[in-house]
Amino acid sequence: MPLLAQCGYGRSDKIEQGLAAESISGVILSPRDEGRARLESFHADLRRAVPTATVLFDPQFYAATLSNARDGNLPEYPYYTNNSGLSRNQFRPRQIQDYVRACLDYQVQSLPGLTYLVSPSVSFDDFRDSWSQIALSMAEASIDYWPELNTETPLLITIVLSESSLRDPTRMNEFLDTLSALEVSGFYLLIQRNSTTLAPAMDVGSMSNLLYFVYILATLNDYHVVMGYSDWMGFLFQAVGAAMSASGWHNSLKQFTLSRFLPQTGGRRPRKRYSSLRLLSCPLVVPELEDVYRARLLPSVLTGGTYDYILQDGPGRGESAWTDAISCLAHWESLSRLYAAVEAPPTVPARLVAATNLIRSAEAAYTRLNVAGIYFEPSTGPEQLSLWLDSIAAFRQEASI
Amino acid sequence: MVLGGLLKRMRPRTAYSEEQMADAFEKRLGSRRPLRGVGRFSQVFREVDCHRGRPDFIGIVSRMASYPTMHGSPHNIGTACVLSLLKSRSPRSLSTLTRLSHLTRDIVLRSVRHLVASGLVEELSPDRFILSGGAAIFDIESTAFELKLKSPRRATFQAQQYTLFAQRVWIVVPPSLVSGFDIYRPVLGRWGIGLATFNPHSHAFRVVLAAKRGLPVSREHQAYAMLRLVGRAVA
Repeated sequence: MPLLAQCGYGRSDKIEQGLAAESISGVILSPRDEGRARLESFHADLRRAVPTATVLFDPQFYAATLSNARDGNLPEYPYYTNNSGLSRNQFRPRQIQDYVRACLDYQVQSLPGLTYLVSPSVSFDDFRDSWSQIALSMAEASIDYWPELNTETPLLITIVLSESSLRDPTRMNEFLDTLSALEVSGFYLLIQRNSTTLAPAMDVGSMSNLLYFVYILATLNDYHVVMGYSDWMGFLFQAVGAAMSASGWHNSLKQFTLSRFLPQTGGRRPRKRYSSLRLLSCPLVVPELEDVYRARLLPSVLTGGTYDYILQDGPGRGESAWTDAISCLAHWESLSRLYAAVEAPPTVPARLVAATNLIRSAEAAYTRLNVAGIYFEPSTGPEQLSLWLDSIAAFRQEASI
Repeated sequence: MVLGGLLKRMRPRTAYSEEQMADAFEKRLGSRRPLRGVGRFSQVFREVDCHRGRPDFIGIVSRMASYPTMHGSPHNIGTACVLSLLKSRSPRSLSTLTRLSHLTRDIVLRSVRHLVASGLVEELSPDRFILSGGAAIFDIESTAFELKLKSPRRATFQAQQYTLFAQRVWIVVPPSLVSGFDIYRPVLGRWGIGLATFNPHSHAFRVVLAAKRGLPVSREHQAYAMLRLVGRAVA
């Protein structure tokens, strides 16, 4: 199972349930959302209860460069305590070494048994800007320090790049050349999205370049690539070689933006959604899924998952019982099946064919629903499907596969 | 530029705003002349937050003031959820309510206390609760109206949501917008949503597609909306 739970606020027992149901294979811990004692005790309990679970700790050091960050519990962690609001001139070589040492020391000493160590990093908007050079320096410092830790736990280098940076293939390739020379186990990749609202697809240019980025690292250079905050797009990353992709329960855990770490005015409670593997999206339980039910087409949309029985006799009536926890577990189940379906073929070209077929069958399902007079909000779909198909085509052309 | 301005001038526009249309419709609802095909209401509420949207109007057929009153701010989704799980005859315990509602025991306890104090719920014996005055809330017949000058798709989406708590739902538009709903007729039919035209100048109301009475889809949302109306009626 290549799906990891992207942890955030309100974890409750979702991780344990997801692991028990085998819809997730592990978790990426979030120090921002949990106090140090609670996180360390959860990690120890998880290690005891499910020793095979993949556990990563995202240090979220990128939040240290934000001024007035909404960094939650991060100041409780020793590597972050005195390092909030860092400006560019606070990343001199000696300082970078200190940040890296404190962060990796914390993971080795306080979280024994992590599957991977994850390096601290900063985010950048352009492959040639000074922040990208700081990110590379932090990566190199982490690699240099790792042997001194005397641990067998492999190291992942964190890369936090913006969606807009992916529009420039020349600069991206230069950066890829540098990354592919690093002696490390792999990468933990975060894409800072342009939109703060959940958007399951990027523009075709950025997305195809991102697929190429992952393909070069994971397939051609054999690095272990973990894609954070991936959600539906994870199946495309898995198709081009990513080892694991992650998704969480809130929208802010399904796509990465630094706005999660900035002061917010609050918002309304999100409307309940159902994760449909057949549509490759999450229609609203009411009115979208209810409308499908009233048109007697519900079986063509349901995933066939563990919790479908709640909505089977009318999504509107079952909506109250469709709790946030159930919605999350059902979503993980759908994603996990999707990733598994794409990963079944052994080669990247065959996986891309499998992904393309899944997208095409989702398009056909939307067409059938449309003929029956069922309409969806733009945030539900199906616009993302054509963007994904175009991205795959552009990637195949670029990678010559 | 010139052509753009010309096209803009040629585009059919209503000579009134949605606010003006709503004001006129409110007068029409309050007049002695009943809306043909809709009926008469004993009380009409304008723009009530119903958790899933804010209908322009909700009409009810009985006096809310005769129902038990709620004080404070009980109309949150937790209280509505607890109220929706209670029954008139078979008592339920706090642990059952906690299990069914997926809320924390503290929230359930707070909600139950508030409902008991308001006379909507009765504690028969320790830890056994039934609906008392609150049962009447689920007997209220309500009709929701959504007024729109444009965007049939948005109107349809909003009206669909109102079926969560209202027995009848109407979309009311100017006569010029009716054709925009042609492709949404199958949806309106499936949901029993009515479509009518209203002219704010002449106050003429005409039914294009009759609304069908249906049971509110969600008892929880019905409880929430009705608690809001109780609060407004008392205020």
